[in-house]
Amino acid sequence: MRIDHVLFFFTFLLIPLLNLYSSLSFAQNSEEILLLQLSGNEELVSIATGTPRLVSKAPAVTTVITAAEIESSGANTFKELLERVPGLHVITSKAKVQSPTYAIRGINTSQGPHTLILVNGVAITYLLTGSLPSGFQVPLAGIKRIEIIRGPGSAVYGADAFSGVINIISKTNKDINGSRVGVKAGSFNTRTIWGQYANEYSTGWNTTANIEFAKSDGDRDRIIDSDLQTILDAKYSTSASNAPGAMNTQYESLTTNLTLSKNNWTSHFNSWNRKLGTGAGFANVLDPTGFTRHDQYLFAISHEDKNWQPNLSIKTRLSYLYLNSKARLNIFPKGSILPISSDGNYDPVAPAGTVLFTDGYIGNPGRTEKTTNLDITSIYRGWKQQLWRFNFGTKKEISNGSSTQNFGPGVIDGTVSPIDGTLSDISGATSVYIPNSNRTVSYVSIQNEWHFVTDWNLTAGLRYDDYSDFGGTTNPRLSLVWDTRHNLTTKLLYGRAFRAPSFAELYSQNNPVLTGNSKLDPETINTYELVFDYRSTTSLSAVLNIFQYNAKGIIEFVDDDGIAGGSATAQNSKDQHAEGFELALKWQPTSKLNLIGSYAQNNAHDMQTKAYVADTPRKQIHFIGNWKFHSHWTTSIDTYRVMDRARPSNDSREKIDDYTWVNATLHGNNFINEWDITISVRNLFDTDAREPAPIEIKNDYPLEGRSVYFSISTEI
Amino acid sequence: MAMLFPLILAQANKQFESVKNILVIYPESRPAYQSIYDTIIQGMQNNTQTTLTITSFNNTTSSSDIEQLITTTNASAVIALRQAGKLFAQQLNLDIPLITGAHVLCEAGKASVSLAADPFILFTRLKHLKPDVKTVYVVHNKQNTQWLIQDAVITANKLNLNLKVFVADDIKKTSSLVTKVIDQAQENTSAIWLPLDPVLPVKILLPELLRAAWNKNLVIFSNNPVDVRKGVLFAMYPDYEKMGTQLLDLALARISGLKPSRPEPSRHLNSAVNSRTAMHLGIRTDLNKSNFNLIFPE
Repeated sequence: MRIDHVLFFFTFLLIPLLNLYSSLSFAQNSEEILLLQLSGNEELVSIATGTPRLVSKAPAVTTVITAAEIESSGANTFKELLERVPGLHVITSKAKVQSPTYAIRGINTSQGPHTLILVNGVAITYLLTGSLPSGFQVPLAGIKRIEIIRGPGSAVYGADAFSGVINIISKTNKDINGSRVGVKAGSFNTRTIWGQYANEYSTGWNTTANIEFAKSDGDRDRIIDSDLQTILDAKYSTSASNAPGAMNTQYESLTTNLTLSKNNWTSHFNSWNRKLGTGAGFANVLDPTGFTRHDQYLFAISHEDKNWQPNLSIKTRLSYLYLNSKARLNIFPKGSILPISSDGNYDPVAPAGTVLFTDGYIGNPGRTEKTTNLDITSIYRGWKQQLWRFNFGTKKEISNGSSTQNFGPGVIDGTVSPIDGTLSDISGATSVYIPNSNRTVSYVSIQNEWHFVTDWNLTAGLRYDDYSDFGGTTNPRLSLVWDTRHNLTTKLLYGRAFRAPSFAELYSQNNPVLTGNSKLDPETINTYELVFDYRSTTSLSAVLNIFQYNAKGIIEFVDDDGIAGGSATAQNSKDQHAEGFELALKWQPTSKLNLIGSYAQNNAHDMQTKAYVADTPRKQIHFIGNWKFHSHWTTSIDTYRVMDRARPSNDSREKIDDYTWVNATLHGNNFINEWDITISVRNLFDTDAREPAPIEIKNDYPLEGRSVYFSISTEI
Repeated sequence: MAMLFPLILAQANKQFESVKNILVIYPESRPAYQSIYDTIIQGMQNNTQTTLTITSFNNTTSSSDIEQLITTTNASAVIALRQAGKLFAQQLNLDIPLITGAHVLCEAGKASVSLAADPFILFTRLKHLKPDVKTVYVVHNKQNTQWLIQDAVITANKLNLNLKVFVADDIKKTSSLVTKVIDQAQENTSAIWLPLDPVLPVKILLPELLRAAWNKNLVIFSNNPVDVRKGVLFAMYPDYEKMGTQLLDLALARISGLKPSRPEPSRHLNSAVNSRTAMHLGIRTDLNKSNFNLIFPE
């Protein structure tokens, strides 16, 4: 007799319990749950079953963070949510004023351009770096779900979908009941106020709007002991450094989104306006008063006709992304003496002289970016057991820089000292930190999903991208999905991806930190995955994903002449190889208890030197427990451990310490009429957690200490 | 004294004598559930020839509170939602028709609209999806669902289906009967129906049923979309707004004596399908959102 037979009969031996179950099964409580289940409403079903929706977006390894999970997480920001994705770690960038980068399976560089971020399917890439602008935030209350695909997605999503894709899907009027407002307050003088509105008009128009204003001083106890200026102070007998001092992590952010739809038409408008501190400084020199400001707007309009022709649907989307950014950077502080080359830039290697900057070494870079994208997707179902997806489009990217500064070519030449804070406007000059740049990308892709024999599906896709500055690239993907048993699916996946260098990697110049390299080659990656997806019919699911990839020509800014704090030039610095696995478990032992756990491990390393890839964890473990201890109240613990992060090969410091992070949340849903309340504690045990910093910041970047937040919201 | 919140919603033109006043009662619940009542009541409000008085009750509400409301609103019928509403209404001293709805357990001779899906619609969809199914097996308890199975037997005959009914007197016998069903079911030509019957602990039965169904290419269909998410081929479940309309129509028919007092299944249904299971069973029908409200896995 099979084990499951035995279990089946054993279960029925528990007659007294079953009698109890039976008598209770249609009692008040169970009938309520049944009513919700029969509503077919996905959100209500989620409430009823207590299990998040399981999205299996074959052929890929997908994690979904639902609105309910966001609500019960107590998270303040988008980045906090992503840490729960197996194999993904949010790293503090060494270059982007310590903004987060999203490292998947050990793929990470200082500007983090390898993970493609979409909002409602539209890329919001910052053209300068290929990643997100600093301090990116979305109103969490307005998110319906976040889908994270690990592994390359270039065949469908195009370049930049190199190590993964994160798609943020906004709530629509179907997800929001009326209007709602909320406020949050907590540590570090953090304040958030938000509102949302949804309506379905008799004219057929549907509208959804979200707005959020957030402000925080940041944790002033994130102390940097010494910075690059400390080293320069020792060399030039000055005392200009602000270290020891706090990282400048204050922020102010206004975010909105508006969705309008009628019949086959949908339009999304998003705006992100934010001003934020410079972290540990643009050049890893503390800058307590500097800031960057980004104003970003996205408009997308789409038309979808599911019955355009028999068996043929078509969706057309036009999107326009505009960004205007400005910064006020005290790259080096008042009173600093710096080695300056004949082109007026900081140069510790071959200076023309040393210069005293009485008001600091100041740069105020600005940027305007425009991305226009026309995208057409058609799906054909006319052939039995096959689905064809055709996609083509074109994208125009324009990026223009401006700057006022008191250094650089034509401003100073290293022979005059002191230099005060008088700024020269070099906007439009060839010496600006990045010349005006543009790029056109045209693409076409075709994908076939073929159910070629019972329980077997083959997906084959091919995408061709034509870059105006890099020529053509073709990327295939293949997946074989076998429905092995009623509760087990096995997948074999292959994908190739491509990433063209960002404008910063190509063209950066005349700044003390980053130098571009117009001779860079695109990066490529080939990934193979074997997935076992087990979903029991009761309350347990387990996904084991084993992967291997080879990435060629990973681009990183490499220190010139190996001098810490000197300029770094973009190079195809390494070929990277990794093997690893991710195991994700979800278990709902009772209707009131949800347990989610994951473990991820990789051995990402440089194929030539065999050295482990620096800064990214080789092991991660994560656990989330949600206990609904009362009909209105849920408490949750969210904890993860980040392990085994190597130093770069030219960094002799000891390996950075592992850390364990714990968040705790108490959430009251409808605890009084329509009122929701959340109390959350981040970093519950006040762990001294650190993310890797360059060698000039010896004690690495400290993360936030313990913080407490209180939020409340209601329908209006 | 109970707190009552009567709300006159439909201001029908009272100059017509055909306008009927109907009292709708339901148990107080949390907002998530309230939205379901709202949907059902919305369906009732689609009929402008009635005036609805809607009130919720809780454990401080007395029978006399509701009876007084019936008198003051001159109600011609009472519609009670859910099992709790039904039990509460049955305690009332009523000389007007009582119609109950949105519950599982129905009693022969009592006017109600059950959450159970109409067997005719269920079997028609089964034949459409898998025309080679000849036999449908069902395990049920007479006390719970005899009225439904009687209808189903007649319907199955009309559709050239052989409905094999196994009666479980209590939950202790369900296990052996389900095992018998699995053994008797023929590959490719048999289906197993999981009606809403408390004698079937679906959560416990489903793992074994789905394993057997996968191995023997059997169809399993039910009344609950959550079962489809777990691997059942398809489910049909009530459209709550239209259930409201059906309840009101039944109430009006009872007032005018046009219909006997007996339970009805839900006749306006939504549907869910599991495309993975469908593929495994070799079902060629186009599974899309125009045919099904929910498609799993998503």
